[in-house]
Amino acid sequence: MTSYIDPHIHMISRTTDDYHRMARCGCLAISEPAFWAGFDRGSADGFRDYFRHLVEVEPKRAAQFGIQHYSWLCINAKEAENVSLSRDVIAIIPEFLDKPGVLGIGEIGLNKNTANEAIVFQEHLDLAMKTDEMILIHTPHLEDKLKGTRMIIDMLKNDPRIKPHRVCVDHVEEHTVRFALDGGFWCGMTLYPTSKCTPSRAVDILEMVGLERIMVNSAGDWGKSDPLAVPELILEMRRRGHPESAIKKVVYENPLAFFRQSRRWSEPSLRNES
Amino acid sequence: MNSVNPLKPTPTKALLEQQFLEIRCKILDLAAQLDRLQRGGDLEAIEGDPKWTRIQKGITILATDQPAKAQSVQELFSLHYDPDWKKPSPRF
Ligand SMILES: [Zn+2]
Repeated sequence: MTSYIDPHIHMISRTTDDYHRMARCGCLAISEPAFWAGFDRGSADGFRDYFRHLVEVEPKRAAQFGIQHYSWLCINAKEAENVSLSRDVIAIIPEFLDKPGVLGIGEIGLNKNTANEAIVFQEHLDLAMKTDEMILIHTPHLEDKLKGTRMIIDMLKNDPRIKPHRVCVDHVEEHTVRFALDGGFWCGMTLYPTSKCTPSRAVDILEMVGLERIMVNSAGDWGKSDPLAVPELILEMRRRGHPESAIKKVVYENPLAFFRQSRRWSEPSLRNES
Repeated sequence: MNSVNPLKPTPTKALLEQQFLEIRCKILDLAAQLDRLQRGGDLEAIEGDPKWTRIQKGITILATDQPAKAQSVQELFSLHYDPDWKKPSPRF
């Protein structure tokens, strides 16, 4: 069994059984970005409780199955349309930045590519640069993705403080992956039924762009999604006869290399070094 | 990319053997979906609808020999990007 890391999964929306099944399939660690809760929250205090959930509750739930749980904090792009609420939430993030397992700011990004979303994205970048945090970026879906990804990369390049190797541009697909890689950023492919990338297309993309600075994730969340999508990709790579070393690089070594840049990364119980 | 890609694509002939039924199934699915639209009885009502126009263009892309058809289909279904959009300024 290949050990793997799922670098983007919203476990708050999954059952404890999912943790169990993921562990049985070889999952050693996950990172959970802050995102939309399925409804717009009414106040910044709602986010404070959510951040406590991410940094206190989920790590304990994951630990029952030997899975290391890490997190990213922000107000997601969907709720970022409300600029004043976003500023209140950004102001409370520093309270949590030194909690164990917090890897950085994320998943920030754009949803409908609006001016307000861009303002809040930039203000998250300002916070991340002030506090020297890594950044995980959500790119929009479907017809908004190409435009939104390019706008996000414009903002990243417009900010001379940004170190591309400490930023992951997530949810890349065929038409956006090269913008992220050519900019020196890490990137993530999200394996998700119908609206994002299938395991087969993700392997096609790997065949086209190679294995450097690229990871895969399930983004398991409230929608119809598969928390075991990374093992599906492993099976697809194996079906095509790709070497085990290549599989391990994509599903384990690459996320590890990216995460290790975070000040709060710790890996005492990762046991895949053989 | 900065290193040699260790992933070798499966040779075309072997791929065709492996994927023939899957591709057949997908073409059939698409054909049935187009039939369904037609059976709705009013194709004229969607004439000029940008969704329908893009579907028709997408089918044309599939029939060409150009590489990166998936990328072209993605671009077809994408909104226009204006490089001169008004960016917010970083606050140092
Ligand atoms: Zn997400």
